[in-house]
Amino acid sequence: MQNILICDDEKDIVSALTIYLQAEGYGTVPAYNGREALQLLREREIHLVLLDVMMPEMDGIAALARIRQESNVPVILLTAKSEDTDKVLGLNIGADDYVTKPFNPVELIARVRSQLRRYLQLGGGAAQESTMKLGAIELDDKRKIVTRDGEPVSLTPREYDILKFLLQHPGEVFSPGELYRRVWGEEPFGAESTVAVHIRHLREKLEITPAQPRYIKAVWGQGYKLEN
Amino acid sequence: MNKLKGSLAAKIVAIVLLAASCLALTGAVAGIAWLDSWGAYRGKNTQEIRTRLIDEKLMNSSFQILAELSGLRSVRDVGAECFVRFELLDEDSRVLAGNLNEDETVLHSQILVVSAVDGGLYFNGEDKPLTSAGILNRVSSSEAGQGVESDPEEPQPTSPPIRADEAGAEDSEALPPSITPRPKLASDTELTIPEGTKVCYMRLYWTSENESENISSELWFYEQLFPWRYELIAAAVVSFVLAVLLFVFLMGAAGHHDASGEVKASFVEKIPADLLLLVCLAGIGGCFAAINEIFSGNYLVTSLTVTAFCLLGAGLFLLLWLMSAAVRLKLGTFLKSCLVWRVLAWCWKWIKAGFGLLKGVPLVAKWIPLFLVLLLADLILTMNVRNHEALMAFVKLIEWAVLGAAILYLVLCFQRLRDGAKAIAAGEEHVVIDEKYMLGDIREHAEDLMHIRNGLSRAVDERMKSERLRTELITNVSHDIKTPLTSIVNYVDLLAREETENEKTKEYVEVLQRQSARLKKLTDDLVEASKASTGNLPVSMERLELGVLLDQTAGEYGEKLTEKNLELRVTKPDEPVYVQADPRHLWRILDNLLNNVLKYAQPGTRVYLDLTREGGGAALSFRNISAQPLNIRPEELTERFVRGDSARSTEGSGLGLAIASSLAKLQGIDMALAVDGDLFKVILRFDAAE
Repeated sequence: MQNILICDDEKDIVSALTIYLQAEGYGTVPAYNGREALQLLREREIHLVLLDVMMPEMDGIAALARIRQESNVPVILLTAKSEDTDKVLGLNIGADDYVTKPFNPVELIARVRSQLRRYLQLGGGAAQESTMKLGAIELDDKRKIVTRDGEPVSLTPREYDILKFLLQHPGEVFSPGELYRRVWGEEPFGAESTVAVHIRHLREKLEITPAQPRYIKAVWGQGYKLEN
Repeated sequence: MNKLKGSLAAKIVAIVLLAASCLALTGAVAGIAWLDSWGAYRGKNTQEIRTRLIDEKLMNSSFQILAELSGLRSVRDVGAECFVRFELLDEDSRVLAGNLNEDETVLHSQILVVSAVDGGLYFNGEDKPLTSAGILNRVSSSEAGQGVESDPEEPQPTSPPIRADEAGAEDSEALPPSITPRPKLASDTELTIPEGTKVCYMRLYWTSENESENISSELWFYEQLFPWRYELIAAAVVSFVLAVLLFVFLMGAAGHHDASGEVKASFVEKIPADLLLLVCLAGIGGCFAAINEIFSGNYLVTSLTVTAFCLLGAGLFLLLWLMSAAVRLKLGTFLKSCLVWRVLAWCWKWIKAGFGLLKGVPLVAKWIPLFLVLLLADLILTMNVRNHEALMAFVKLIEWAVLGAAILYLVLCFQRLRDGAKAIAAGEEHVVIDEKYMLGDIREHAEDLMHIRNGLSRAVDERMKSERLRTELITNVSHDIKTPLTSIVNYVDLLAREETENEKTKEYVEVLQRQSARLKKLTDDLVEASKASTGNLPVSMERLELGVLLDQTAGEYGEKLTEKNLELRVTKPDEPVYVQADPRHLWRILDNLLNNVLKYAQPGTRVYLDLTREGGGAALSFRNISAQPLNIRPEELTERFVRGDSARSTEGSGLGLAIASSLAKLQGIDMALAVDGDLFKVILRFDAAE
């Protein structure tokens, strides 16, 4: 069983999370401040930490910095602050992911699963030549299979082509017209918005929260790019 | 020290000592100066000084000597209490005639050569025999003319030049030890010379009555003083230092009347300082007048003490005033205690009061009389000097110079006021109008302008501060709301997962879920709205293509609109349209607008999204038909929490348009709303991208 340390000063949130995670079959360890979390992390075998940022005694950022001195257990920050700077700070200090309060339980569980899979299967499957990988997304061109965190995702052939093209050019921005030309192999003639629709579908299938995509990003007024 | 300062006895002692040391200093300095003028400090011995002193005395008093000769009588006080005698000698130094007294001591002698012919005495080849008066004339003219030492290169055997011998001592030695008896000569008698005598000499003597008496008081004084010449310097220095110390002490002690160290005014300080100064100066003047009187009256020696007392009196007057001034300075009342100051202050008060009276008077009432007076003055002047053209021109020149200066001054002041007002109008925060050299009404005006500026900047500051505080408050509160909201969302979700047969429970939980989701959205929107409206958001402008953005938007919203039975019609120019905007903020605007369309548009209608070029820039318009009548002015729609009336109960925070318009403003995009019946229209106008 995989143990998850839940650290939040709000007891109700801890118990709600306990209920959700236990229902998914994870073991949970509650902690109510940063100091306690650090203590428990040393005593128990912990596979993932859910860490609130704003806590008394020792806040989440400080606790995270201490955790990172000792272990590289995955840490997901729970934060009421949704400002970009706070997210950047958390990620820079060593968080693996973050969820802003008030969070959707389903989303949180999806992120927990994703992090755990990566943490525990680290180096498990050696990448083959025909596979393209970006973050949690893997595309096996031989078998025509796309997985996210090892879970297969079913895509339409056009979606598959777009993803493959973007995986071949990570970080590059393509306008809808350009994408249409490169993927469809034809001139768009006003069909650019079809590309946008496909991209949105791709996002809905591959992203945990499509509204805040981690991989398939829209560069408004310019186009789309695939980025980790 | 305070005790010493406060003691009257100490002050009196100090004053006495000060007087003494001042006298000593004066004496010492006078002595040093006098000694130095005789070369006492340049290594001259008393003997040299003596010789020199006598010589000088004699030379200076030659007229008196000659006066003596003329009468051939002795007069006292020829400079240095000496007598003048003469003798006539033949070639063998035999005395022929003379009036030298035996009991007199010869101080100095001088030989003149005269020729004796036929029993008469002739001078310089003249044919008239000499009388005693003639000798006088000779000596006088030789001294005034060629000088006592004549040219020795032109000897005249019959009438040798007058030879003067300055070395008195040598001549004295050359004298026969005693010459007796000496025939007395009457005044203006012809001198008879024994037959056969060719040349004879005349020897002039300066004698004193006896040896013990001194030639002059000066020499005596010098001889007394000479051994003390270095001690005198020391005495001068010591008395100077002492005088300074005592003076400083007295100045410091002035005003202290007891040991408390407090400075108090005495009755002297009640007298105005300048009045006291006058009195003291009068006293000093009186003292000096007395001294002057004494000296002119020739009672020299007897009056020295009186002089000293007079000087002391003058010094005491001076000291009195200085001490009183010191007290006033310490109390800080020096200027105020001056009569002149009081009079001036009084005058100034009245002048100011006069100006104060003018203050309330309106400008026109103030200036018109002034101009009338000027006009009148000009008229009178012109009438009076009209006949003198040059004077007239001069008067006019002066008049115009004064007028011109006044006008220039006014113009310069006005310029400053205008610049200041302009800057204030432009909203510059740190405008300062220089009030230097401004007078009266102009100054008042400048001050008023500065007050306006201060009020303005204060208002702006307060506004900024309250806006910032509000943003902070909203941000903090929504953060605090988020934590309990998390619990609510989670437990409502858990509730929904519970198996229940009760339909009502399911329905209620659904409501809870929907409303908690709305609350969540509301808190997020609230933070964003307050940040956007106060400009508390970073904006990074980029060049982007609106056509692409429209495609992306259509892609994002196309299906959702279709679900709501809305048809999206997008039109755009063929060529790309580039603008400057922050992509994320612009997307947020479109996102909000399309969400509004989703919420409020009448199903079954078309939604138009048109991109057109406008001037150098671009315009993006949204048009849709509202499901509810829009009984509201478009301006009100962008205010926070305003929605179409009946939309209250539906989803949405009412912040969408407010956020959109704030974000548009941040990026410099003009966002206009228009309502035409049920047609709702939003137009975004972009400037051209460079």
